[in-house]
Amino acid sequence: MVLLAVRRLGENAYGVPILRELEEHGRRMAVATVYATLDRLEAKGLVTSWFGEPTSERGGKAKRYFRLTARGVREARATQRVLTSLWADFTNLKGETT
Amino acid sequence: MNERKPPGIASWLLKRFGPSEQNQVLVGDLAEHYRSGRSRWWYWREVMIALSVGTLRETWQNRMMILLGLAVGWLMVKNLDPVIIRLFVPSPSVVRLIVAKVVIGFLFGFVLALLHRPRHIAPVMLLGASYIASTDLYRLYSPGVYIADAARVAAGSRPPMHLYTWLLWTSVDLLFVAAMIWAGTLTVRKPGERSEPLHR
Repeated sequence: MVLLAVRRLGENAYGVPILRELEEHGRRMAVATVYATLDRLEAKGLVTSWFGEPTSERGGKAKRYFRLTARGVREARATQRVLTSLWADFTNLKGETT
Repeated sequence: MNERKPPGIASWLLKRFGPSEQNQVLVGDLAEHYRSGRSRWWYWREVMIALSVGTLRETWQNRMMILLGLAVGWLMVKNLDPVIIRLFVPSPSVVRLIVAKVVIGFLFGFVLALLHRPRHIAPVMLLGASYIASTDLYRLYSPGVYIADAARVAAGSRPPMHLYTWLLWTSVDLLFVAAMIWAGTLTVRKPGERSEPLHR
């Protein structure tokens, strides 16, 4: 989900918009846990990050921007394929309660 | 622009004890999100999560370094502490001893943190916690005497003298650890000062 949020935000993918993007799609996360996830993704080479300029509305603190790497995009597509095929079976379960 | 200021104590805690790697970014993100209408409760909760997640991650990612830090810290506490006390407090005086302990705690915390920058908070915090656990809690639980004393006091008896002594030494040790942690936080890097190169 974090990977997809970064992809959707494009050039504006930093902490606060990522958090909002996740919330809009029904997933509440703490800022620190989002960064923990992003650090893991960066260690795996799926995203890359850089620091922006400090801004006054953030009390003079810099933003850390994220972007998907080519490997990250490939990984997201692979996950999408797997999930799509798994969900395809799920339509056959219509009407089942358990 | 909304100028609402985030809760001061929570911000101070995060700046001082937050994860060293991206503390400035976290402080900025929380301030920006808070100004967009989040509650004080939300801010406090985020700070507590950031402190817990940050300390756990730094401890795990640098476990060998932190173990080494703990070993160095314990060597300093157990070997240098009594020598310095004997040197500077030749005559028995509680006030002098307290001052000496605070100064030594400050020096140890500063040296230990300086050796472990930028991941300096975890070894200092762990040393402080293990020191209190091994000296004061051990003293309290080992003989079981103090627990029985506390029960007697609760029943209405006069507190025995050694209970006061324990309270005094525990307070001195807490001051020692507080000075250690405070000194450790003074080695926090300034914004923009980083150990690793930035990548774009």
